[in-house]
Amino acid sequence: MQRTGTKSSPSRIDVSAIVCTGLRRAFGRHVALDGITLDVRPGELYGFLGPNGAGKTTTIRILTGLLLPSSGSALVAGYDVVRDPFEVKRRIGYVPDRVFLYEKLTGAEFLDFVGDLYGLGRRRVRESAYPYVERFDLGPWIHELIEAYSHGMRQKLALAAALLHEPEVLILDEPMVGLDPRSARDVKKLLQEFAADGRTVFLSTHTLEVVEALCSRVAIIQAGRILTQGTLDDLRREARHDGGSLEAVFLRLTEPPTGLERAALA
Amino acid sequence: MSTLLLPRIKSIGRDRRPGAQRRVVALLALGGLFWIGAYAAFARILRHFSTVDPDLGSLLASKLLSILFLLWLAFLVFSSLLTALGQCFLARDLPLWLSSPIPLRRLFRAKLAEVATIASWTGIFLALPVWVAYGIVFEGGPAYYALLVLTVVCCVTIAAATGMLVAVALVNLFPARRARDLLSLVALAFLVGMAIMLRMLRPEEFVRPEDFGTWAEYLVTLADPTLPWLPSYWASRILSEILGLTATFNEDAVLRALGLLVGATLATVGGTAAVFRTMYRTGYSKSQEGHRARWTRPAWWHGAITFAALPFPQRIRAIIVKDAATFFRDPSQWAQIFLLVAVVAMYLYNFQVLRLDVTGGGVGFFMRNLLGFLNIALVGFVVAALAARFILPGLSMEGSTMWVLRASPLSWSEILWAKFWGGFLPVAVVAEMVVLLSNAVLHTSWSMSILAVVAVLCLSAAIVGLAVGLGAAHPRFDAADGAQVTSGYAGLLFMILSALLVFLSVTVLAWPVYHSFRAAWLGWGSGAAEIAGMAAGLMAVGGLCLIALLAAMQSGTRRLQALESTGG
Repeated sequence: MQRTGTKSSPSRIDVSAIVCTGLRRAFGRHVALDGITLDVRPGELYGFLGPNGAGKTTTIRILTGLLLPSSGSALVAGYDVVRDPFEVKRRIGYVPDRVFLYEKLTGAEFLDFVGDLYGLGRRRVRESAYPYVERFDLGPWIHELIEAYSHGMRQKLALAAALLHEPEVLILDEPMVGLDPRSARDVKKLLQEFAADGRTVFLSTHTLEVVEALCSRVAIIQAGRILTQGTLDDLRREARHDGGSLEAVFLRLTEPPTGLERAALA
Repeated sequence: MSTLLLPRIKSIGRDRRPGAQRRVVALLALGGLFWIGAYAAFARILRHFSTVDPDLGSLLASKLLSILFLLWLAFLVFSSLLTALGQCFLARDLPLWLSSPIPLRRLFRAKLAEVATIASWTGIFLALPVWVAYGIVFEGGPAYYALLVLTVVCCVTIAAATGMLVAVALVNLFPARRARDLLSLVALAFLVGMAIMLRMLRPEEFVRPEDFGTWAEYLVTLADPTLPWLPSYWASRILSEILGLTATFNEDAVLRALGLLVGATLATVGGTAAVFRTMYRTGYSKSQEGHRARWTRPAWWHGAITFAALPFPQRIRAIIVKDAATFFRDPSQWAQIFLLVAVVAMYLYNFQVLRLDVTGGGVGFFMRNLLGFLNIALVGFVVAALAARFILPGLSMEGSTMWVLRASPLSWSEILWAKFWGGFLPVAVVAEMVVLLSNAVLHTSWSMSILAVVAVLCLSAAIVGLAVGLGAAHPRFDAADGAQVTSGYAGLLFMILSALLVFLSVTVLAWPVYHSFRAAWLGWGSGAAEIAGMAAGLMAVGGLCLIALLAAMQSGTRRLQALESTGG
């Protein structure tokens, strides 16, 4: 691990794209994250799975600097999300699970706006975002108000906006929801290219086929704790389900304990 | 019906947001204070009427009651129409209700109850001290209160049914593709109607008996019924008779008015129910149609705003231009701009009709400059009203799109200052225009004009800062529209603090202004001492405003940071 930067400037720790250590987050008495530890390396397409309410979105909100952890630490692109949130935000692209955009802006104005927030010039916005606009077939709609966009179009526009400052880490919460099969295929291809470029994708989803097709490593979270993480083969071994589908592995690992198991644990 | 209203009834008192109980207590305390103040003021006015001349006092009280009922009913109809459009065509629970096998008559009854309650509770709360003042000053017995309840229930029901009727008809007939776009047109129509109605009533004549040829002519005008074909007149007539405000108690008149009021209530509800049954489903279907493809070319105002925002850093400029674009492209905001223009025009017109030169000479000079001075406070209140409507809800309205700002490398402080500059510049321009125009109409002295311009600039900055800061300190990211924020705790606190700031500023300026007047009155002119006094007063106001601005912005920033760490 190599630390760069001076005492006064933000300090960057190189090696991993995302490192969470004992990350805990409580909302009142409810513990949403109970000391999770993750290590995502550059160039990885990392799948983050879990049942509803497991803590996936809370983790993502902490990694993107939208929420502060109660304890523990999280480093993204080498920077601490609590100490250097702006350095983190400069290096990540984020698309939330529910994409709400400014209805009264056009797609082009939205991209310009996001470009301004990252301090990019108009030319850079055109060069960086418009290839994605064309790739996602948004070109004919780009000067129309976002209120006329379908859910899938908004999703694609948000993804183009997340990519325009060329982030090192892309954090996506359910990116395939609402996409038609062609768009879903395009997005998958784009994510593979992004990772092949040495950058990192952190992907939270319930669509297990997507994880199976794309991700090199996977973590499964339940009740705020990481149940397991590793390659798909690691997971299959752990679930004693060699050769089984990810769905079968996921269901096996996340099924509630039986009465006997509970008694044994007690 | 009760099943349909159950979710709404159950959600009452289940506000689990941090500080919810504290907010309720504060609201109750402030509401109580308002209530006591309004009651005391009205009781005093009504007692004053009686002491001047018992007959004339009764006539004035009766006239005032009929005008108040008219305005109250107009407010209820307007509020019901807006509520009906929202509750019948835009509410989020409608798809659930309409996909269930619920008969339309049950839906109608539930929506009528919902619209009547939501649209009228503030109106009833505001009017209650007035009605109680009437009851106590004119010794209304149990019959007065019983009839009051009956007339209020009838008026509220008529207003709710009328609102629903017009909403259903508008959505069916109007070519607008979405019900939301109708809201702005409805608001505009209401404002124009209210302005015309107020001018028709010419209330200023009632306080100028000398304008009438004879005393009898004045009394006849006072006794003349105010729009006698409206339920508001029937309601006020019933209550006036029972309170003994008419020359002799006319039992037939009470029964006739009562019959008309109850009959009109039943007829309106019955008629609306019939229309609702036949036209609601078609209207709802029409209101769901999407927008036509709409291409947006860069408009002149877009370029102008971008140019005006050039001195700001890129990220602040981006937010200012984004907020302006979303504001100008929202049809529901246009009516508010029309309203603003109408308010300013009426404001200036009222100065025009004031008879300041009746006494002429020095008194005329004194009155003009005194009004010019008081105008600072009035413009301060106009700025507060503008800020409450447009700026206070700004951050809350980011709501579900806040992730765009928060995921970017932008601090809360930068976001709030962008909101401040985006609000301050247009508000200051409007406020200064009002000050300069009203000073021109009043022919105030140059020193008073400069004082007013500088003081209003300082007040505008502080009030806009208060709006941004308090809007951030008490955000409502779940609010469906800005009105929910304005009418909530933050809105109330903001109005109180703004009023306090305006009051303090005017008080600070009063002493040097008094000395300057005195010097002018005595023919000394404005010497160095007077100018220095005014400058010192302005500096004090500037300091006060700066403290208010910075404290509010800092409090907003801190609160948002705290919310981020608690996840609230």
